[in-house]
Amino acid sequence: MSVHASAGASLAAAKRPRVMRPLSEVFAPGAPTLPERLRTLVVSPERELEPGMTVRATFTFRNHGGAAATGVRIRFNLPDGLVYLVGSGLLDGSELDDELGNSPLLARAGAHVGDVLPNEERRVEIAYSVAGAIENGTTVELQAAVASFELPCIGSNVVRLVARSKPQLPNALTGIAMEAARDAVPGSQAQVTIRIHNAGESTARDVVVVSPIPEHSSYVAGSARVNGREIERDLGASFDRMYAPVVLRSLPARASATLVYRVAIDAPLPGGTQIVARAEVASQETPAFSLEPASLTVVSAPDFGDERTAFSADPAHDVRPGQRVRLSLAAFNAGTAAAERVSAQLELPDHLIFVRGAATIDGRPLRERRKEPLRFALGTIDAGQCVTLCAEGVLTSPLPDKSVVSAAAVLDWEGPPASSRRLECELRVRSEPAFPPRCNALTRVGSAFAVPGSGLEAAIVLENDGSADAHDCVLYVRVDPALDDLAIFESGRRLALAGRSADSAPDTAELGTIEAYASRRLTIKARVPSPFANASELRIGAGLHTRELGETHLPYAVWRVDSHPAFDRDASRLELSGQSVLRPNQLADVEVVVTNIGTDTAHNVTLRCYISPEARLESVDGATREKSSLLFGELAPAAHARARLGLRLLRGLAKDWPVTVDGLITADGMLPVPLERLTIATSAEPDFSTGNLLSEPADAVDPGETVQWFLHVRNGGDGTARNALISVAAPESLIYVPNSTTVNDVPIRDSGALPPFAGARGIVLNDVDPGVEATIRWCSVVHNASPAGTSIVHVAHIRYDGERDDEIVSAELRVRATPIFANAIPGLPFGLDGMLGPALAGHPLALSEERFLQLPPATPVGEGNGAHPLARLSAGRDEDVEDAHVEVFETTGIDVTGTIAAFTPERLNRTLRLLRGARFRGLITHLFAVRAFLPEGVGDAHCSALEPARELLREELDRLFIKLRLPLYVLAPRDIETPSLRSTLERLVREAGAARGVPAESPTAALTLRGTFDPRELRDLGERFAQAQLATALPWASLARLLPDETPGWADYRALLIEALDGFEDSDCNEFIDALQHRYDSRLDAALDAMAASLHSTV
Amino acid sequence: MLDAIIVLAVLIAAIAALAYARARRRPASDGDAVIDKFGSLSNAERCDFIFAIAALDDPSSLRLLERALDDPCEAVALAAAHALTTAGSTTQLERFFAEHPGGRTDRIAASLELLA
Repeated sequence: MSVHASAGASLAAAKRPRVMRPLSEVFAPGAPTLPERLRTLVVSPERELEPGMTVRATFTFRNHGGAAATGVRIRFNLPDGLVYLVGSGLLDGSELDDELGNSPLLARAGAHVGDVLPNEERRVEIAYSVAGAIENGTTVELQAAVASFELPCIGSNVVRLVARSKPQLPNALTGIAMEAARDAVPGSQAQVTIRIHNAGESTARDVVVVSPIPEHSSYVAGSARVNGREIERDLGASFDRMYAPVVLRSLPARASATLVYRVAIDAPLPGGTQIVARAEVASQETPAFSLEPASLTVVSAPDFGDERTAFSADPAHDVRPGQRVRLSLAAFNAGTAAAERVSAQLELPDHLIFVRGAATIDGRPLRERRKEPLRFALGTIDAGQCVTLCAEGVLTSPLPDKSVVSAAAVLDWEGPPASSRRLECELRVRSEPAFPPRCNALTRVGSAFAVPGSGLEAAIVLENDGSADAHDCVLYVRVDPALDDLAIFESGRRLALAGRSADSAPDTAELGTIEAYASRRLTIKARVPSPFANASELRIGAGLHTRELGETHLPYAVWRVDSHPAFDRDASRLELSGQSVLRPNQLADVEVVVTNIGTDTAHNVTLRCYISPEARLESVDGATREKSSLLFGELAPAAHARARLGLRLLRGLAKDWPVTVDGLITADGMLPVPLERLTIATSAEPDFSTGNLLSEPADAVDPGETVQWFLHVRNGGDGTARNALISVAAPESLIYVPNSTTVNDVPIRDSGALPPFAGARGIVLNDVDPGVEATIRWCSVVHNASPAGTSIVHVAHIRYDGERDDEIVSAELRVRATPIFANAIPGLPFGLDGMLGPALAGHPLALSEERFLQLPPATPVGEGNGAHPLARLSAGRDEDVEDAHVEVFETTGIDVTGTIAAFTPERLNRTLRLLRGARFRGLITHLFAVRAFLPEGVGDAHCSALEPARELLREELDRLFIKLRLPLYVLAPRDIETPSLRSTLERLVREAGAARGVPAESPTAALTLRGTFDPRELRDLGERFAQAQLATALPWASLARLLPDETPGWADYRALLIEALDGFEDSDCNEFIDALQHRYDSRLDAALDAMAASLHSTV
Repeated sequence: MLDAIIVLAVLIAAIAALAYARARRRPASDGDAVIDKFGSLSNAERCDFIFAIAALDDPSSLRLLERALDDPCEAVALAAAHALTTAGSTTQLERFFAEHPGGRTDRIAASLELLA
């Protein structure tokens, strides 16, 4: 067949166009074989070959031509399945391999054999080895080719050999294995691996594996793999459902395949259970054979070790003491075998008290047992089963906050193997102190009323009713800021107080730690300040600050202040300052001290004074006077008010009659408090020692001449003389003229034949007040027989108050006697022996209807007898002035108007001081004099312009007084001229010109200065007033005429002042202003000094 | 000459009245401005000014009077003291005397006693 094929191929080649291929292109893969032109290739074996067999090929050729073939090259092919045996290539017995073992016979260019001469033959040999794995029936073709420069490539015959081989599956490498991933425990998976190895030389086809799923296991779906490739898709069914599936279509020689699938071990399974895997393998070439079985031993035990077995508490956090806690033990047998006789033992700490009867197993209550109440039998727990044991406990109190309470449960069971497990759980305690209001309070101790100066006390009870200690306890005390001496005591020990800040009052006390269920008792003490307002509310509060709770407020304790002003007789009094004895008409200073010893402010404090009628309250200094009451207004507690009372003892007070001053303190909201009576001793004594006894004629008298005697007696003391007995001893040289005695010009009847003062008691004067003066006048005739030179002295005795006896002696009166011989007496138509005698003193005056007459007002005693030289003290109508007024009118025919200026001693003092201080070198000094002596009364009618004029003059001149103290100040008309002053003065002058009569006596004045003026003169000045400026002399000349002129000194000054001012009648204001500031009139100033001196002597 | 004096007097009166009106109208905070203006017057003018406000009892006038007690010119201080005495404000005056003892205070007090 190969021959035919070869022949056919030759024919086909002959028919085909001849293609000459070079040697390098022959034997290329896919290239057709060369035409067989030389049939000299011999191969051994000739037909079949087997894997590992050596194939030898010999190629011989000869130069049948005539020429040498040059460049001859030979090449063999190398078919698949054959391998060149190194060193087997020989040319004519010579090796052709190079040093690397490569044969040029198999190279593309072939082996160069050199030139082949004609008829020269060459022999080439080569050997191949059959590959170890060659498929059965494979054809191997061998061919050689030769070429030269001259000849194209010629092929040898093609030798075809058939390979013979078979697979071999049963071998040591083919087997089955079974292994678990970790432990062969029930429920776990195991892997079955069947390894098939083809140890033959050819491919095994349709390899079949019979591998039933092992007992106690189950196939894991989809897990079958052959060489890692899933096979169930190709099988079309699950692997475990097919008995003998073809797992491999072919298994090449020397190749292996692995069939793997996984099984799940049944669970549960007793420990030690064997799981055996078996398998059989077959193929088309190989009959079925069994593999050695593989097995696993199952490992199994109960297990409570995973997290499903747990012991827990509910709640586990923020568990408060006293709270119930549910303890749960879940025993889950996570093993693969049942646990027998499982029991649980609870281990509870002391702080967790087991609640009997509350335990359950899987929700079912347990029977109460007295023995081992904390041990519970759970029975048998199969694998995978869970039993839950629940019990309850109560957390005890107290417990520290954030403390941890551990509870444990021990789970015991029996095998295999027997074991136990201890489980614990923790309870985190949430505990805190508590200060509930029911047992923490601040309560007032004692009365609800607080008295200033007293103490307040409040009790604080702090009881920690919570389950934990209270730490860093600080007690804050909130007290009224007015309270003093705040202190906190505990068990008699005073706690140190500190302030909340650097500048705050100390009001906090450190209490440290208050343990749970412990109590602290504190006492707060404070003092109510004195004074304090009544009805005020005082509060003491407190708060407890702890680290755990912050601030806990305690209620306030409240007091109401009971406070009142108070006065007593010790702290409030009337005191006499200075002299201890008060004399009439003298001022006594009484110190009033009013002290509020109470605790509240006294309002409208008034001291009502009840003064004896003998004294008069004249001045009050330091308080407001309202009639006889002194108003002190408000008086703070502990404050005192002082006032000075000026009391004047009135005249006429009986001797040793004390003056009493009673005081009654009243104020709003308090009872009147009478003060201790102030008794002021008085001393009032009459004094008649300053009288005089005068005669008229005073020095000498002729015999038979009537002598008029004047006995001036005056009570110069300060007390009233109840009885003053005046007796005058008549000398023998005098003969009393009967009924000639008058007392203050009131005729007094003689006492029989004796003059009244010569009687047994003399003239008795009753109730002679101080200052009252009595003038006893009588007449006597000098005895005719009195020789010349006889000295006549009258002696009067005044006895009063029983013990005083003052003697008043008259001046010596001498008798002047001359001889007379004639008896012709003028007026008589006859001669008369004798001498011309004196006429009688006059007709006796009849007494008035009343027996006793009020003595007339006192008249001043004469100068040189202790009385004031010039001024007159008058208490009633001055008849002398009126008489003088009438006298002037009668003697001159001029109608005059009287003026009066009344002075109190104080005012007189002030006036004199002003005159001393207002001395300037100019006429302006005398404007101040005009201001000082301007009268209060002009005429007998009211002069309305007088008072405003006095005030305006005072105001204006006060300003002048101040301005003149300015250095180098020059007066200006505007300093004097003001519209109001001008109109007022003009009105005054007009009213004065129209005034008539004499002004009435001032009842309160101690000194009155009187004057008179011609109203016509004033009217004339008033008419010119309107055209004159106040800075000219005319207005002031008008006022000067109103000054007093009662005494010569006053009259002198007034006359000089009027003269000086009238001298400026024609001067303008500038000239007058200049005179006011610079004109010095020494005479006028001297007159003013004399007037001031006379007034000063009256002070 | 007389007319000039009258005009001057009217002018001073007008100034005093104006000062009075401003002192009345201004709030208390303007008192210092009035006091400053017061300080710029001559001694005699300050006296006249004090005489003009002596009868006033408003707080600013009283403050000015109190301030004038410390005036460099003793006559001006005397005028202020006299004005305060006349107005019955002796408390301020006594306090000033207590705080400023000395010869000047004694002289002012003596002059006040003369004018009492």
